[in-house]
Amino acid sequence: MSKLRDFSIATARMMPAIILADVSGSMTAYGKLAALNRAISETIANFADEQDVRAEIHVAVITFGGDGANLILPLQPAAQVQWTDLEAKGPTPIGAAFELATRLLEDKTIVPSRSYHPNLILISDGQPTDDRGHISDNWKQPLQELLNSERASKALRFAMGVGPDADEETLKAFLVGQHPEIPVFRADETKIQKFFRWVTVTVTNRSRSINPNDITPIDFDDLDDLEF
Amino acid sequence: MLSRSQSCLESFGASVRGKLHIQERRPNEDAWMKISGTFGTAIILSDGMGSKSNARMGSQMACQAVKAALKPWSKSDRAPAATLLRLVHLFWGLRIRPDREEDSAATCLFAVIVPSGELTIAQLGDGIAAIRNADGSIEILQGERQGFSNQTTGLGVAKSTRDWTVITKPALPPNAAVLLATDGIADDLVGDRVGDFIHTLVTEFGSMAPVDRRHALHRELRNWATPNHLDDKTLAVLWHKQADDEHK
Repeated sequence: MSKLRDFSIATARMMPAIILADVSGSMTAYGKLAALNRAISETIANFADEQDVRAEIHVAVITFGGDGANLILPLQPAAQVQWTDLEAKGPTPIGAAFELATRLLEDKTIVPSRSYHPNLILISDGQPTDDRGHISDNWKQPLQELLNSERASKALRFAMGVGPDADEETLKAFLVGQHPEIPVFRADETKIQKFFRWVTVTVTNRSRSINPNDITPIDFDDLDDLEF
Repeated sequence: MLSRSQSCLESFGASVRGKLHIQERRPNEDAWMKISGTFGTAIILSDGMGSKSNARMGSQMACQAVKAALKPWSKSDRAPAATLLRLVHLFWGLRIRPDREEDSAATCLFAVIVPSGELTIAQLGDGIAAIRNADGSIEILQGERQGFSNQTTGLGVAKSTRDWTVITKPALPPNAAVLLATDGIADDLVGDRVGDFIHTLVTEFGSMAPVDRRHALHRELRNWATPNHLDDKTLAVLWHKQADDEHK
């Protein structure tokens, strides 16, 4: 009979993976949204398959589109997620998504201090706008707040620009200051799944690692040699 | 001969290799020590940083460095704690040679009670250092961490004694206890039960014969209830056992 059992927390330490997904109207073109939905669904399933590892991967999804930024999937163990496909409409209010991500990661009741460094995964196909759909740089301040925050700044950040209209400046700014440097991944609708495979392999490698906070993204060019 | 204040002090500790190191056939990279002598009585523990090649040596030498530092420090009348910490860094740096300090990085936590009865507790890096007072109240050296797990400093990382957290008290009163533990335990403790955890260690394990206690503690730490626990786990406890003539 254990005398110390009652004093230890009965849940595994989590590694959060937070997806910031562009659901603006333009994502409906060329099958981009359908490809994104498939890729997110598969990614969550792969995270859920990671059993008996050091860190339990928890997933949240923040969308930004027609009616602003929304936490459509609250942070929860990947194995518990019931995925519902995203719908797309309206502008690209990416700044609101940065604000929401920062709030989520700074909240210790949602992401406890015993968690491992989180992962932030940004996908966008267009130029940032305000809520009314006007091209805007109102994303810069919320991004700076994210990058300067106590906890959200510790996240490992990934970014994918989908299609030729994705704004390179925003995506690059999202990745700034990381070591080692992680490039913006440029994709058409056929390569969205490859990006998520890369993210999956990197995140799951971290969850198995001796020190999950070691930030060691795999070389994207080696992806085809990896199985998971 | 031990002073009266020293003779009422009791201590024990335990350390087990985590599941990950067992799987990978790597050694326990935590270390701990309990010592007593003319300088007083102390418990020390250290957690070698997991990604470092010389982590095991780093943690063992951290314990040795504190032990070595306590002797000259205690001989100097009223030397400040910062002097002790500088000595710890110096002795540790000497002992891990010829390996590089950054490859041997290790946390360092210790509690010492000198012959006058004064208590000093110091912590560099992750883990927990806490006092449970006789009335059940708790003092934890470092508040809740601001960042995330495994985000730590230590010997080989810290560049200043200001990176340490230190507390000094005139005495460890009767029935008060100090707990030190590495993050393999500290990160999984239920926040409002740390005091009960210390009390259980003292009352349930403190009275056991040393061999029985060692086996019992190893069993507890190997069967730690938190799912997916993989870290090495180490704790040490120092408490003031109330002598019969100290009862009011």
